[in-house]
Amino acid sequence: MAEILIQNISKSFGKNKVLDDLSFEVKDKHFLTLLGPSGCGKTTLLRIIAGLEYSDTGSVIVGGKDITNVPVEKRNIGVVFQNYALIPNMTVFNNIAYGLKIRKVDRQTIQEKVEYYAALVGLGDLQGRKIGQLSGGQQQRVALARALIIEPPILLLDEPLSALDRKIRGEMQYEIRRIQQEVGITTVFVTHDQEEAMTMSDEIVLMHKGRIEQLDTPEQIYNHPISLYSSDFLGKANTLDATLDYENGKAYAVGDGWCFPVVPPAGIEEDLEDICLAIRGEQIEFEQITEEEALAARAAMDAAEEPVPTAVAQIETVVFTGEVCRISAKMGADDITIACINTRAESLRPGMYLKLIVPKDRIHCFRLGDSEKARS
Amino acid sequence: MPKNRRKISGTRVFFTVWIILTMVFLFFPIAQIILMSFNTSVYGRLPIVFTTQWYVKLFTTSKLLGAAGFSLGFSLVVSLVSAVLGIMASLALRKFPTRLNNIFNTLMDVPLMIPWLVQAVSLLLLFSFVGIGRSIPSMFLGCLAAVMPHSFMLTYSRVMTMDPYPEEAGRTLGATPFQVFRDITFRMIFPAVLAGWLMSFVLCFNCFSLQYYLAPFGTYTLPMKIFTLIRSGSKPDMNALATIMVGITFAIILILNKIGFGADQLFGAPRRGEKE
Ligand SMILES: Nc1ncnc2c1ncn2[C@@H]1O[C@H](COP(=O)(O)OP(=O)(O)OP(=O)(O)O)[C@@H](O)[C@H]1O
Ligand SMILES: [Mg+2]
Repeated sequence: MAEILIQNISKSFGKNKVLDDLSFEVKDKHFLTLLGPSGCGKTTLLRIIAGLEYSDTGSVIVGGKDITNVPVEKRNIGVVFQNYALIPNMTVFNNIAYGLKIRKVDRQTIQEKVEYYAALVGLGDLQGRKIGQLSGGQQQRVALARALIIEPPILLLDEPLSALDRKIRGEMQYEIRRIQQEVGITTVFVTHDQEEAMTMSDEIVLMHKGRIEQLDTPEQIYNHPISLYSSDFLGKANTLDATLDYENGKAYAVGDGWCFPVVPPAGIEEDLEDICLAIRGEQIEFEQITEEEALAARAAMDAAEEPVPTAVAQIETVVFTGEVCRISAKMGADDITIACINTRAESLRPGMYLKLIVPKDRIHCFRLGDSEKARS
Repeated sequence: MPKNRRKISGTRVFFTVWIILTMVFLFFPIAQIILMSFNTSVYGRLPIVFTTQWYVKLFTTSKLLGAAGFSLGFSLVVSLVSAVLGIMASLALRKFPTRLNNIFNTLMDVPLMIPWLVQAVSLLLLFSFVGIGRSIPSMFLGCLAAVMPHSFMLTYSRVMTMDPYPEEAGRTLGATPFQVFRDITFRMIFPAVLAGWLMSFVLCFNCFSLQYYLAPFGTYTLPMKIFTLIRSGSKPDMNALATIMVGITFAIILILNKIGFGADQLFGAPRRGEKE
């Protein structure tokens, strides 16, 4: 069993507090991704787990054993570095074999294992090459094979795919995931690419300035973000400022020229409090309406005393991006982006009017404190 | 456009001539010595009448060979110690905080600036005070102090600019700090170490003033021997010795180049059409 327990890890570089009291668990054989913007402390955390950096407080526990003070070379943790860190004066074969040579494995076994892992990562017959003669993708594979060959219970990967082009990147994502499941290694993966995080992970730790913003499965974080920051980082949602309005026990979010029925955020009882909404573009349903219908709906809303659910938008642009179309529209005074499969958008033209329908549980409401956090 | 092109080729001619003149200036004296070592005339009179008598004299009656052997051995020991110290200092300094690092670095620059003559006199004072005066140990320490900054500088700049991650990767693969040094660090800094060692060797071989002041009586390094001999007139067997030394030097350079350590590798100058 090789579950990793991170307990109250803090780390400062001088006055710069990089990690602030982090605690979480990576279950045995799980694939956990650290996701966050540049500089939020992902690499630092990974280096602390690997033993290449010491934390100021807290402990790292692997399989029930506290390894906080165990030196790097005794930890038996495979690491793939952000920039591969291959040994420049060794051939591909010697790079991959290095961990085994250190372990004094006999030559025959080394030969066989290098063959096996080179094939596993798809390296073909490049073993005699020098490191300088490899492409980025090939170097990446060497780094991966080198980390895997020591058959570590834990694998740490620091943005290993950031230097690759889209296509190879997709292949490598798939391969890393396959190998990880095949070999059964507890893995911590670092990325600042939300799409990559969602495709590969069992769980995602969304980090924000050295703290954990949300820790959950990709589906949960995507569908139930707990803050505006989460909703914005995973999948770039529409964010709208609104006022919360209770009417007959029901809650409405009233904006400038639109109104949605909502589930109010926990802890808000007061009327007329400023809130912020996050709505994902592809979770907006729509139907086309005429200009008269649109104006009538708007007039009815303005005339009424109490909030009337109204969501009418006028199309500004329709952008074709392949599988999906992105429709930018004006809803009241706010901009909103709607995503749909492109066949659905074929007949839509700028200037047309849409009636928007969003299920109540797809509208995420946050108190304003959260939204300020996201914008900073 | 054509006018522009003419101008470029004008500068090109200028620089070509310049380079040729520089090369002549550098290599003509060496060529001259080689020629004179095969000339019968003691005073370098032309035309050249071919002879190998000076070489015969060098290996039979001449007193130069003993001094040359001593100089070679002495410089070898000093430069090896200097290379080892250079590596140790560079690696230690890398771990220092930036402030200390800068201070130490500046201190290491000082011996590079001080004229050897000044250094020699002050060292002689110091050694006399300590009680070892003019002796082999004083000469060893003096020459070491003079050449060590050079091998340190070369090694240190390599250590500071090299990628630290392969070493960390080695640690994560299970290598102890010593194994990391042996398998990764040393191999990565080796060209600089080799350059530093060669440089120390040459400098130590040449540092006449330090040797002159610090050598014990009766001990002669080659530069000291030549200095005493040259005062009593020209000696063509010195030309023969110089020719042999030039030959050995060229052989070393050729071998280094063959095994992949050209000047670009050793001193970090880029070679055309090659990436790092
Ligand atoms: N050795 C160090 N000394 C001082 N500050 C450091 C050091 N290493 C990291 N930092 C600082 O710690 C913060 C977090 O760095 P870290 O490398 O962990 O970020 P990251 O999340 O990995 O970013 P990226 O996505 O760009 O790799 C940054 O502000 C960085 O400047
Ligand atoms: Mg990083």
